[in-house]
Amino acid sequence: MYTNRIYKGILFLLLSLSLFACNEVIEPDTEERFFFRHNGADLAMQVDGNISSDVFILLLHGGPGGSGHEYNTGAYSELLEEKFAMVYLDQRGQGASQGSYNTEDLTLQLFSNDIAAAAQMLKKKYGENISLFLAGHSWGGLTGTHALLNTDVQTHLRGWMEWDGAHDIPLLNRYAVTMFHKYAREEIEKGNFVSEWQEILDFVEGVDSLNVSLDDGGQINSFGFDAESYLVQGADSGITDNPRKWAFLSSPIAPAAMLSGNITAGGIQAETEAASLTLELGKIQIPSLFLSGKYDFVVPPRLAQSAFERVGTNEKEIHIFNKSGHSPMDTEAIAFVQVVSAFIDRYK
Amino acid sequence: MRYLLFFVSLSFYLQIHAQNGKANSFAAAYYSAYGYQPGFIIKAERTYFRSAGANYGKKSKKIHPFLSLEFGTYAHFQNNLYLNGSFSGGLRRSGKKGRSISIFASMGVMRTQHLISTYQLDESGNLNTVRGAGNWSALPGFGMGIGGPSPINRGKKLIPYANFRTQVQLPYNDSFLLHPMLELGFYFNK
Repeated sequence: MYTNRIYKGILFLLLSLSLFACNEVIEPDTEERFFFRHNGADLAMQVDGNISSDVFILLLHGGPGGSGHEYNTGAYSELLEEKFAMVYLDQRGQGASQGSYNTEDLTLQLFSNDIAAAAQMLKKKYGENISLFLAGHSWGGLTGTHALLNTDVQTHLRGWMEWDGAHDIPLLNRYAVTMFHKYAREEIEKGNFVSEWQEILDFVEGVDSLNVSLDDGGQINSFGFDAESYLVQGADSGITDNPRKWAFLSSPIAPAAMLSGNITAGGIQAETEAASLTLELGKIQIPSLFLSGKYDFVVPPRLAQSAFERVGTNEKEIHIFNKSGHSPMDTEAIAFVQVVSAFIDRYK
Repeated sequence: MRYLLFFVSLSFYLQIHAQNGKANSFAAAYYSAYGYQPGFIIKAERTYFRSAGANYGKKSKKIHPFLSLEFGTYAHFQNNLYLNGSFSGGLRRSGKKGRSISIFASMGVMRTQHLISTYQLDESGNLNTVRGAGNWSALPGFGMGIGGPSPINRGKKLIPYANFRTQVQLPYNDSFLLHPMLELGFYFNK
């Protein structure tokens, strides 16, 4: 009797398992996962959304140390996927991408070559006639801009979108120090997080903003996220909290991805911190859209304004989101998607 | 510095075995990769008691072979459904008070529900499919543990155990993926 019950239980579980095995959990028409092998790396790519639209957005994640998987979450990605095919790329040494190479060989040029090759690959895979747009958030704004300036990727693209993009870290640091001064004083006067803002103020008053060291650059970045969170929690801030704080778990190998991402970040940190592409932005000849959050201390909105003024095309737009910090695609998802959609519809 | 040669995938089992009087057991387990990719496993195991009672003191008869067969699945919400099956064989050495330690080896296969291709551009700019992870992998592994059935405690209601095992997923693109796993559970006799 007892043994029979066990056998029935096992049979039920086996049947359940076989049902899973027969079910397509992923719709092949709307979701594709693959690796792209390039120059010693297998880059993990996810293509989700409206592939039949023939409009593709190749999205470069932030970091260094982030992943495309993180960006394949949240309302904005769902909304964009309804209209377009989103391509979430795990850049070299990050997320689920794999490979074996030396950290000494990691350069922005190597990341740029990956991006240009990925764009070329997408056209081969989905058709030369697809409308391909490149987008980069935060550090992805740096690698994207670098690729536009140092490869032939512009020939494959209908447009470029920089979302709070960090294409000039020295300039970014100067703008961030200015922002810290302004908001720290205002918030201390209001009595919001006084000791925390005072710590930031004390730090920035000791920073030579024209010659920021690697350590100070890291601290500016860290305080940037802190400052945004203080504003979110402060009274009458009007700024929206980021609903996607746990998105780093989206990688199927999240702990390993964090480890490899940190190693990669260490390998590219010095070149990243020194990267200053503002003076070259005139070489960008394709339609460009610059998006930023008003309260972004990590990549201040003045950097987007600067890029907007210098980019070498008249087909350019800028939009500052007034209730957002570093990730307006999360904090003002609907408005963000409307702006992105309008830009793409104009230039696709 | 060389790196990214392999990834480590931490996993966790919580198993409950229903054991009958012949040292056969059936287990159902909650399984989780990284703690947030949920799945379950079913398992059948047979232990071959080579002695019991009066002859137990002989050293050669303290060691009992066991075999097990298991099937499992887990899912990642963005990516894939993973199915695996493996066959294990091992030895469990029992002490006089029913304490035991075990070692075991296993061989299995894993299938990803969704085919993951690897593409490469050749020098002419043509896109080719190249050898990559595919959706079949071999899963050789080994493990060790404490606790579990023995001739001394076969009548006990609950027999706790803990296993630490590692499976190697081959190939994982150019490399391999280690799956260290902690299994916790208990056998129970009705």
